[in-house]
Amino acid sequence: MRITLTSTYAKTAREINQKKEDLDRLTTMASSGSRILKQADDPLAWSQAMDFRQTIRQIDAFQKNIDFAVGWNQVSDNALNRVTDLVERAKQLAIQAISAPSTAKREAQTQELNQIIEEAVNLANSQYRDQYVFSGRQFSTAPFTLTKDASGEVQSISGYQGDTQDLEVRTGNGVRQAVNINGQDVFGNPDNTSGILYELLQLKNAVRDGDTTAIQQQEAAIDASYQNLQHQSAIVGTRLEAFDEKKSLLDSIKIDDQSQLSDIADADMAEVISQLQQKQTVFQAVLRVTGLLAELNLTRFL
Amino acid sequence: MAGLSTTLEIAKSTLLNEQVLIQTTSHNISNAENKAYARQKANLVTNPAYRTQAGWLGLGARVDQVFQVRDQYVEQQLMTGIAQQSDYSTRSGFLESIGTYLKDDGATGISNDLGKFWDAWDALGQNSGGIVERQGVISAAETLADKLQVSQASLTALRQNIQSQTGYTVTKINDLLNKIASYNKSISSFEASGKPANDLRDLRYQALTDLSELIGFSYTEEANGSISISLQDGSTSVSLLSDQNAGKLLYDQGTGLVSYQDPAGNSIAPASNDLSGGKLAGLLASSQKTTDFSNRLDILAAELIVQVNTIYDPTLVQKVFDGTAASDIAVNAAFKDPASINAEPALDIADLQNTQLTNLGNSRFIDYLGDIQQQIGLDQQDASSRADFQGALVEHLETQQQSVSGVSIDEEMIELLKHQQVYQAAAKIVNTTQRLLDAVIGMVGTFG
Repeated sequence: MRITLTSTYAKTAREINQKKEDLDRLTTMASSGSRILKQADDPLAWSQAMDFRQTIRQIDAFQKNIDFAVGWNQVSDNALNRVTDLVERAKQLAIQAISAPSTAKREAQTQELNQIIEEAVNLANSQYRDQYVFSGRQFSTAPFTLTKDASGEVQSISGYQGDTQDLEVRTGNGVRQAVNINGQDVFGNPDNTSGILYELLQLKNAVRDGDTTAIQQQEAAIDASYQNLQHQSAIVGTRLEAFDEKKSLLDSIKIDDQSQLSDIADADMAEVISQLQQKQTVFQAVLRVTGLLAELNLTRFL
Repeated sequence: MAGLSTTLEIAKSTLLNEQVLIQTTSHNISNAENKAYARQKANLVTNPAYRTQAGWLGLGARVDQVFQVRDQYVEQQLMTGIAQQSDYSTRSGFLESIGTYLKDDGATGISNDLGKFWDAWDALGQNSGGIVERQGVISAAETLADKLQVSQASLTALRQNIQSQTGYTVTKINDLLNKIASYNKSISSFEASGKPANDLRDLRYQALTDLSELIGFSYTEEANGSISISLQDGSTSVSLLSDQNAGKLLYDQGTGLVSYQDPAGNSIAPASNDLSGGKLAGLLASSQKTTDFSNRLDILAAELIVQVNTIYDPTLVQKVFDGTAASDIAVNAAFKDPASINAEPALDIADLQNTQLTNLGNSRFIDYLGDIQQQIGLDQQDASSRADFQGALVEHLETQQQSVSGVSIDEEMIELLKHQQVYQAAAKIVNTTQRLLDAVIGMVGTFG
């Protein structure tokens, strides 16, 4: 076979070009840390990586939803615990009031009950991120309002103004979990004829009036409501635990997805660098040979 | 007749012959880098001898003809290879553009904007009254609609670019056909003398090589030295050049189809183009691919619009998106007012990301997008690996063609050495003959 000038140089040029392409690909891999730089590098892995990134994105969304639900329930939990404390104190006051104390003492008890009611209503109107936590889905409506007279004594408390719908968040594919408990189940009904707030108000009125029969009646009613409060508190506590568990489950799924994504999309640095060194050596050899080509010519010997 | 003067005559023609040979060598060397050039060789033949008493005496040599060293079979194969390579590298180039315009690795691109759109609804579900969350949904919807529009617009621009390049390529093909027709004319008239028109053939070979980059064709050489060109479009064989008459290609940008006019002036209009090789085939295929991906984007956008709107308000009085395709998707004007947003269906809309949809081939939005990415990758891989394969083949055929027709400097140097020595030997004969003649003249000089 005759080896001619153009074919020799065309071949050399192509070799140099190809080696440079290889080097360029490897340096880009090393600097980006990515194994697949465009779809054609590995079409299947590319679309899998895309799917994984979006799956992880949705897991992040689920976790954000859970963070929100946890925050909401911590506010609810806090409110319920404090109301429970207040109700305990009210019960003590009721027991004291049954043994017919002096007028001064009765006034002091009435005043304290007044404060307890005010605080309880405040707690029932707790907010999380500007939303009333005990209003059902009526997030911008306070569940209860109270009316005071000029002296600051509580006159009446409104009935429950929220609704009984659940606020839900998505915590998994097709999974929705309720976040809230509504005020009607905890504090009082819309007709204002039952519930702890109503009972506290009745107790205060009975203590003020020194009506021991009524006090005894209310004390029994409050006892039942107290049980309910603890029950609701337990619901919230269970939810908090469940959310925590769900979150750590999502965490482990996410870590798993991330490591799979890394397997698919990330470059194996050790391999890239050793390949890079190999190609460099080859490239240097090609350059050296190209230099020699000019020497290997009959004209130099004539 | 035999004698010193004949010897001188023979030496003179040897000197002249060697000058022709050295000129040919020089011509070869000066064209060493020209790939379209086929090396030339001069043919020496012995002059007719004449009869003497001693027998037949030779009268030296003469240059019969200067001819080219070519292998037409390899050349035709090379052109087919060039056409194929050009086809696939054109496709690979445009698919790479499509891949860049639609690049989506899940962290950037449409899927990311779509993901943010779903997340915005999740956030709205947490705080349905929040102005920030409402605004978040609006801007996520706007970004998504914008991304779809921009992606579609870049595909449209790409298709227009491909179409204008197709028009330009067709013009170039027609120019080359006319050029080859005129070379045919010159070559057939030059060669009527019986001597090959070497350098004109080089020019025609160059034009043929140029043509093979643009379109796949086959050619045959006629007895008068002209060549005829024809191509295969599907099952139709189209003649494009016959002797001195060129046919032409016609491109209709509206239908995107190429039709033909043969050298006799007959129109040939195929229902669809199925060309084999050449940039033109690559351009037509790339245009088709661009349309395919464009359609996929439209299907995705249409499904997004319908599904989101239907969940948002089944009566379709209130809408999130206007439009019917990726090119015209936009956020509904009323939806852009944060106060008027209905947050009730927020979670249902967010759940849409996990819904398998019939119109998307029973897959989720993200699967459909992933499928587009995978298809782009596979197409590009296919085109570039074919281009690489054809490139290697062309390289091989080129080496083969150059092995026959290319100029080897070393070989020419040896030729030159040879010619130089023959020239010197002939000069020596002139020199010797001169001295002999001097001796003869000296003998005469002693007279008187």
